Amino acid sequence: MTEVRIPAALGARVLEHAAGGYPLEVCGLLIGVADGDGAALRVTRTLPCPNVAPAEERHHRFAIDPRVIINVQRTLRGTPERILGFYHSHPDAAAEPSATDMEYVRLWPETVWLIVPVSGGAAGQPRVWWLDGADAPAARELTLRTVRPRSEPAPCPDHLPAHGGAPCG
Amino acid sequence: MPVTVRIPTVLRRLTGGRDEVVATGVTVADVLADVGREYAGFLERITTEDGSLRPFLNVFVNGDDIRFAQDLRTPVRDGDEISIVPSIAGGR
Repeated sequence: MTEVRIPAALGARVLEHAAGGYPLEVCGLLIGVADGDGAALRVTRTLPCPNVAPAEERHHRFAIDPRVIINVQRTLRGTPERILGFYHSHPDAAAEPSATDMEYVRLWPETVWLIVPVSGGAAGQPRVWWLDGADAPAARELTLRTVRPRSEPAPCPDHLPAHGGAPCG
Repeated sequence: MPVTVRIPTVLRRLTGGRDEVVATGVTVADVLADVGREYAGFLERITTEDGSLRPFLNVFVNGDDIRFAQDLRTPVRDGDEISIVPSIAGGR
């Protein structure tokens, strides 16, 4: 895997979510498909999720309810789309996986981890990380490429789980 | 009773790369033990020495979290689907 491609509107939505949540961390799912020769992934929608970390920790921690993940996985079964990975924000910190992030990255190898730095409420340049396998020594950075949409973003199906009232990209 | 067990990426090296396997049992614990008999090392990655579910792993039966049922003693029926989902969290 070398590259993650995201339509500009979806990328903007992720940044807006990150900036809007400052100074707390926000999080969500990246849903999409394999692209081209299989060396790239294309995001087709984003799904903002409530941060279910303990309230007093949400300025430096995030957690996604695993029931959201299982519901989305089951909803997408039989379609070309799947959960490519996750995004979350790093308020006043770099867009690099922290030691805490790495504990969970190791539970989710071959999964996209997009991190948005947010400084003073302004979202910075996101970066994307990937672990080649559970035993890989470290996560490596993938290229994040903004692309033109092939079509209008898919509407948010009614059967996708609730995601905090935020729009589905 | 045959039950499908969906395997997360992190555990697929223990199941020969398979993303789902079929096993039998009348409870979630039975089924996971049956998978463990077929795939060495699997059960140890799922449960602790006292037989409880390891932290950072979540198990669902047909999409329902077993923590809100009878945990690993949750009964399963022919055709049910057990999904193992790692926790997702992190932060700066």
